[in-house]
Amino acid sequence: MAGTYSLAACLAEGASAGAEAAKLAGCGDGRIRFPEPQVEEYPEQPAQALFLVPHTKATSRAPSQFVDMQLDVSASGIELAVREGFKSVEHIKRYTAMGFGTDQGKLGNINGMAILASALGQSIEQTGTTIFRPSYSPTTFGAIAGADVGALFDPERYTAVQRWHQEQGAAFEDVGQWKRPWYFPRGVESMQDAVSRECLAVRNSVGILDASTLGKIDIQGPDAAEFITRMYTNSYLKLAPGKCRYGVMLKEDGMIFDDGVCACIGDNHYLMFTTTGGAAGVLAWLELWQQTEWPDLKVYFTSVTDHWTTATITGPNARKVLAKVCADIDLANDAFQFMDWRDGTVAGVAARIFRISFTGELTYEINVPAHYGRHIWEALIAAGEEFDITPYGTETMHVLRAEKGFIIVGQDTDGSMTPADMNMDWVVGKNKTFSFIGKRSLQRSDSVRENRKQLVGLKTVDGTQVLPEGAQIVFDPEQKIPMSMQGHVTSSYFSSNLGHSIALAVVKGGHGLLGKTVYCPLADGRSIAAEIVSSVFYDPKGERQNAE
Amino acid sequence: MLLIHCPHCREDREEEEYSYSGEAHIVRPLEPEALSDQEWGDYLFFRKNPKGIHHEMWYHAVGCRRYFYATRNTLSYEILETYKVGEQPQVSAQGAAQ
Amino acid sequence: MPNNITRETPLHYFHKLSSHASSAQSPEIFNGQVEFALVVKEAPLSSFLNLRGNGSDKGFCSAVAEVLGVTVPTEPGTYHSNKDSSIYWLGPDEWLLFSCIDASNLEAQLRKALSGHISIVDISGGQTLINLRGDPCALAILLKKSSVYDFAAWPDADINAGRCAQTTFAKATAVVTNKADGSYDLILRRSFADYIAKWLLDAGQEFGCRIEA
Ligand SMILES: [Zn+2]
Repeated sequence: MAGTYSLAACLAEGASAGAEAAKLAGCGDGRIRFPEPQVEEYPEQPAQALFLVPHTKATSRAPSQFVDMQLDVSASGIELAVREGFKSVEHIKRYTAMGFGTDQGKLGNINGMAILASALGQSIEQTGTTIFRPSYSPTTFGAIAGADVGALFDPERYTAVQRWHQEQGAAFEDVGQWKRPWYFPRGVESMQDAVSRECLAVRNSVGILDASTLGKIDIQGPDAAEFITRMYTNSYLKLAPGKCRYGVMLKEDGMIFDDGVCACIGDNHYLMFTTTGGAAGVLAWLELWQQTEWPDLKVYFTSVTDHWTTATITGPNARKVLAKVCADIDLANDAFQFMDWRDGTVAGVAARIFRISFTGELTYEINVPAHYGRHIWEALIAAGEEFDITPYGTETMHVLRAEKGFIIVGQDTDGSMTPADMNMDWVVGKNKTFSFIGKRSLQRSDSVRENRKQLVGLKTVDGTQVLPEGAQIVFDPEQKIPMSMQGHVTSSYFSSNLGHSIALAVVKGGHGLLGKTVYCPLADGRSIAAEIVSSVFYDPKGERQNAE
Repeated sequence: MLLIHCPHCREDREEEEYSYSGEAHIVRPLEPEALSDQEWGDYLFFRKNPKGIHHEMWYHAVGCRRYFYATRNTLSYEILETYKVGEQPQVSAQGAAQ
Repeated sequence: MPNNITRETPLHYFHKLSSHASSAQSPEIFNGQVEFALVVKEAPLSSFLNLRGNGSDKGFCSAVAEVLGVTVPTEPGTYHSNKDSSIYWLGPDEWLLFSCIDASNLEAQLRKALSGHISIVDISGGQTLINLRGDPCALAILLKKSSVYDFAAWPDADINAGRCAQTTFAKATAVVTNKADGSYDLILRRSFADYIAKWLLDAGQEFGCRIEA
């Protein structure tokens, strides 16, 4: 131990330090001008460590002397361990639990190991120390995260067109593990400006969307149509090769679980599209029913999501663009109709083209094996140049489908919505002989209740105001808090095509409330007034997707 | 981590490769429309959830994509057997109690 | 096919990258100054078909063998191959066919030869096969880092047969197979290929890892 301890030495040291300080301040020459104080001397020895306070009794008989406060390890416990025959410090640690607490012995282990050394009759050096683990020594978050950072934190799934999107400066959105272009800003354009431009381009000319992330399941077997018809609410028994049909899948509780188009590819051969996020779940769902409930149905399912790149061209000029790169399909409206699909060659590549539409416009979804993905994409961009073909992202896709009142499963539904709630009774086959999955539940008393939350459109009284998604809906904004909540906003956007905001919402008994004014109270105390309207804001007769 | 024997891959594979799929041997009613709301509700919502021996469905999601059954002790997590769809368990709650 | 049609393999943008360079603009990495114990090489575009059918039906097996010149592996977790084609066991009634024969040609031949309840699906666009070779110890450690599966328990592969397992790989999945030369083939889904490439370069960094063109 360092330092000066005896009183005489302390006084002498203080006196000379004072004289030295006075000299530096310009007074005196550093000598001490007064007699040094005389004090009585005591014999002293260097300080000693006290690891264990001695007691007149043996440690085991004396009052408990705790060493590790966290685990109640006492000095007598350590001595006992030695009497039991343990010699290694690591064994003593495990016998007594000394140093196993969250402090990892930081509070008591030095004393403990010294007591051990004394009991073993050897030096502390000979006894050694245990390994100190975190949190004795600090652990960085980097050590905990390991390789789970950046690009390796969660897999990022890319389509074959990803590099093109990046080169164009797309902003990306996470959809499950997929990275999807959200919008394609030009220059310093804001998101709203970019989305408005993209939306107008689709309605007035033509846009192009990378739809490759949609789940795709190839279905083959003599019982394929029967099986699919059991899974969807509508029937596929009479769907002819070359034709597509939109279907909704329910869980057995009658609630919407996924939706998408299913195409008949040939005899006993179908291609099912699922939502991007639902792909793996739908495949497991199909396998579950086939393998465990109906193994007698002869049908096989194979995921082909990764196989196809899907370039969707949509807008009044879509046919003109396609005609420039596809010569072997008759694109005339009556030859290749809405909800048809055709095999053909696009820009030199064998392609499968689906005439289906999520924008309400004339649309062709062009599918090619993914190694041709970038080729086909760039060929369509080049062919569409004279029509100012505009790449668009998921935000524009959402706005355009909301203008048409097309739902997104998981956004406008939440696992508690029936097809009737979504105003989609038309998709439920009334004459199906087999009781499809979920059908019985549609008759449960709760499913036919009149005041279920039902899908409606909302038009704000002030068309410039965009309702927040998730906003609660009340009928009387002046009522006392807690207000009686009647529903909530599920989708909300500004529609540049319509010049005002649009929203989809679910409202209790909403289908019977057209024309009613409702209110969305906001956190800041204001309420936005909106009128309940049809959920189809644009082209209500659906004429544009059938365009000549 | 558990090792679970896949009766199709015929190997012990890590639990991470599987997903749990609920109670096994629940047969879908042949005529759902003939059932009362209560009977349908029993099929739809009510499960045994026993403390002890339980027969379950598992899905070898990352492996062979086959569903199979497992007899598991929910108390100890011990998996006593796995068997294919169409087969019957060798271990049952009654048998284990004896 | 017109020759102005470009095709991109799933790892197209990773060729010539390594664990010691962040972009292809660093060619000095390939001048031999850095040692790489691990080498990844992506197979050229090939055909992948998913085949379903009854493996205990002798007619089914012999018809497939007739077309490909490779017998159908019915033992779980095994594959058979010849110089043009491989058949990997994926499940009790499911196989993955990998071949240098054109996919539509192969599918047509199989459909002609097979009858009954079967399924053949061309998934060529959605898969890629990469070979992982190098120092045996580094390879073993890399695989241990990457998967829950115990590849070390496999017996050595023969020239035309070996083991395969569809399992986890990093936070994605892969079909992993062993080869007679001690290397491993991995079959990946296209959308996860970028992620797995980044993973391999990162996990292989301690040994040096590069991706050949
Ligand atoms: Zn398995």
